[in-house]
Formats: sequence, structure tokens, C-alpha cells
Amino acid sequence: MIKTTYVTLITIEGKINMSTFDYNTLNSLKDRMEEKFPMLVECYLEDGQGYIDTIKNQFPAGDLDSLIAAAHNLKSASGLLGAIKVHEVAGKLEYSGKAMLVAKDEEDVENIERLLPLYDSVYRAFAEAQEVLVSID
Amino acid sequence: MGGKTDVENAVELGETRKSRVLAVDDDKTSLLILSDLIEHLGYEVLEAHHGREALAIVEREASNLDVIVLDKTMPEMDGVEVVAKLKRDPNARHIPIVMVTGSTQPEEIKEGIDAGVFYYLTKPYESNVFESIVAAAMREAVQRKFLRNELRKHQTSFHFIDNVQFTIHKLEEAENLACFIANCFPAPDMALPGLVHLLFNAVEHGNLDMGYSLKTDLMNDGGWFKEIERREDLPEYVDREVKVSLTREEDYIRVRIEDEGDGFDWTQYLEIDPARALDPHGRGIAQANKISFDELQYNDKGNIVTVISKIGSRINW
Repeated sequence: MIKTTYVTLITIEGKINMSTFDYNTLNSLKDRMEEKFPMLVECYLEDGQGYIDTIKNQFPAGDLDSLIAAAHNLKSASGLLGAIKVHEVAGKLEYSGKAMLVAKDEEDVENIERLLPLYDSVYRAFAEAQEVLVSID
Repeated sequence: MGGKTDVENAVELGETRKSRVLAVDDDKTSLLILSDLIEHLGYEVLEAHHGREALAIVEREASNLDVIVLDKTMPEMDGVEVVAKLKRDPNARHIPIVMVTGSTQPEEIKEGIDAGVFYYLTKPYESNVFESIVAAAMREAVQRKFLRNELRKHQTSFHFIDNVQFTIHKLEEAENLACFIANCFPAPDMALPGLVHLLFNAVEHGNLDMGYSLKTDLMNDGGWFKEIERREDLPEYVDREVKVSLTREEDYIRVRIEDEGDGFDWTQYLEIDPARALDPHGRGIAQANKISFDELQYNDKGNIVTVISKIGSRINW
């Protein structure tokens, strides 16, 4: 089961080729929230970086639950903001982490590091999103 | 009252405060967006960043809260645990809850439904879907408040009634009759929403022949109540009746509701189907089945429904 998950992860890694943002979502948020929009962006970037750091820290710590929770929140916030690429890859990381958690009960597998390629994708996607967001007027 | 706005209904109730929504999410970005959407619907927002904070606010503000929008996945105490606690609180268990989840998996949605949640949103949600679901929950809250006030007006000596029959034609009559009949039940507050749903169904879906998808469309474009009023006066529907009988025995109360429609496949509405969890309506029968009565039975055709509540019921009123 874990081997299958690993193969899936590699495949997903190779397939990610999408826009950074859904600009319809982002622009309608900007229009609707008006003066609150910069605060939203600031909050997303600050908390998003926190989630990225939390995920990264779990590779030496081996805490899958914390990794999954951080990936989940990053996925949710990104989806609402229209950061579709971060949403997509953070979601893959969350689900792969959950699959690993389930398998861990059945087999003695401690290979959290198999999630590293997905973490790299999340990291890169977030950096791209950050670049777009800081350039918004 | 169904065609009026929440503000109009609130004014009718003599209330001056805005409808109030508690938004609960542990992620600040999500909470900011959630609160902004709620404010744009014209509601006042209270915010909680985790389950315990939400419960503390509800304990303090239950009587001033209309709807709770609750994230399912939160650390320490998740949304389902929060719902379980709210459903045990007699002051809060009536507040409609919209559960927000990142998953569209039926089993995840079912978990919330089993806990007593009838409204669902999946992240990321479109603002029009959000509006539709929160408005549906708010309609329930406003209607419940309105009916509870009406209920008091109908309180008289009902324990002398053993058998009584009624005939109604219109939604407005259904609302009044529900208030009247509810007072015969051991816990009128719990029976009332179930009776309203079943009587409404008999009028609108039974006698007025309004199908599920048509109602969805009409609710989404705001034309539902106008269409009801139009149909109530059409020659093919104007003489149709809903016959209601109430029987009280020593240890139970039974209400039988019969319409003149073609019936429907009621089996798919006894429980909330996760596939319909995002629809703006379609929860009434499941709610009646789950929280209002001890038994709910349809005839095969689906134009007669009978509900039974035991006196000294197993339901935790």
C-alpha cells in the first residue's frame, strides 16, 4: 500500500502544471472586501508561511498528525483565496499523509520522508502565490 | 412569511436586532473570508477561533444567535464534537448549524448529519452557494422563532382532545395548524418544526405539484413564494385539500396528513442524502424523522404521512 502511495506521489509531482491563481476568485474577493483585502493577504501570507514551517518541521519530528493539520489549513485557506495551485498540492499532501497514517497501523512504516517531494511542491507553489500577492496594488 | 426577507420577518416579530451568525474556524484567513461573506448578507457576525471558544460564546449568547457556521476540521475539539455538545444544550440545540468541510466524501458529510447537522458547505465554496445555504439555515431560524411565538398564542387546554380533524389549503394555514397541533404533543417545541415541514410538503409538493428541482431553482432565484401563491389560485389546484387528523390515545399521539397529489418516492428523504447536502432545501422530512417524532411512516404512494409520539417518549425532549 505504501509503495503504491509512493508511486502515486511521484506521478502527481510530475503532473502539476496549473495556474497559480484563479483570478476570478481573487478579484471578486478584492472587490468585495475592499479595505479589508490587504489584511486578508497579510494574514494568508503570514499564516501560510507558518503552515509551511510546521510541515517542514515534521520531517525530522515525524509527527504526521501535525503535518496533516497544517496541510489541511493551508489547503482550505488557499482554496478560498483562489490560490489554486497551493490548494491542489497541499490537498495532495494532506491526503497522502492520511493514507500513510492509515497504513502505519497495518505496517511498520516510518517513511514520512516519502512526502518530501510533495512538500517541495507546496513550498514552490506558495512562493509563487506569494510573488503574485505582494505584487497586487 | 416564506417570501419575505429575514429583516422583514424580524421586524414582524418586533425585533430590532440584526440576525446574528457565529462563525467558527481555526484558520484566520478562512475566518476573515467567512465573516466578510456573512456581513455582506446583512447579518451580524460573532467569531470564534476554536471549538471551546465557540461553546463559550454560545453559552453566553444562545438566545441572541440565529445560525452557527462551523468548520469541521479543527484541532483539539473538531466540529462534530462541538455539534454533539450543542445538541445536548437545551438553550442551543435549536440553532441551525452549517458545517463547513474540506471534503466532499459522503462518509465525512454523513458523520455531521448523524450528529444533527442539516446544512453543509464544502471548501472552497462559491459565494452564491454560501449565500444559498446560509440563507436556508437562516430561514429555518427565523421561521422557528416566528412559530415559537405563534405557538404561545395557541396554548389552551388541549389534553381534552381525543380526536379532531382539519382541512387546509394554503401554506399560511399549514403554519397556523402546525402551531395548534404542536400544543397537543408532550414537547411542542420539538414537534412544531416537524409538523410544519410535513404540512408544507403536503401543500407545496403534494397539492401544488411543485417538484424538488423546480423548488431548488425557485429558491435560488428568489421566486419560490410567488410561485406558491400563483399555484394556490390556479383552477387545477384551488380545490385541493390537505386532510389532517389528530388522535390521542392513552400512551401516544398520532397525526395523519393526507394530500391529493400524486405522491413521491419518500424513501430517499427519510435521511439526509450527502449528495443533497448542499441543496437549499430538502431536509424537512429527515429533520422530522430524526428530531420531532418517535415514528414517521408514509403510505407506499407517498401522499399520506403518519407521525406518532409516545407520551413518555423515548425522545430526549
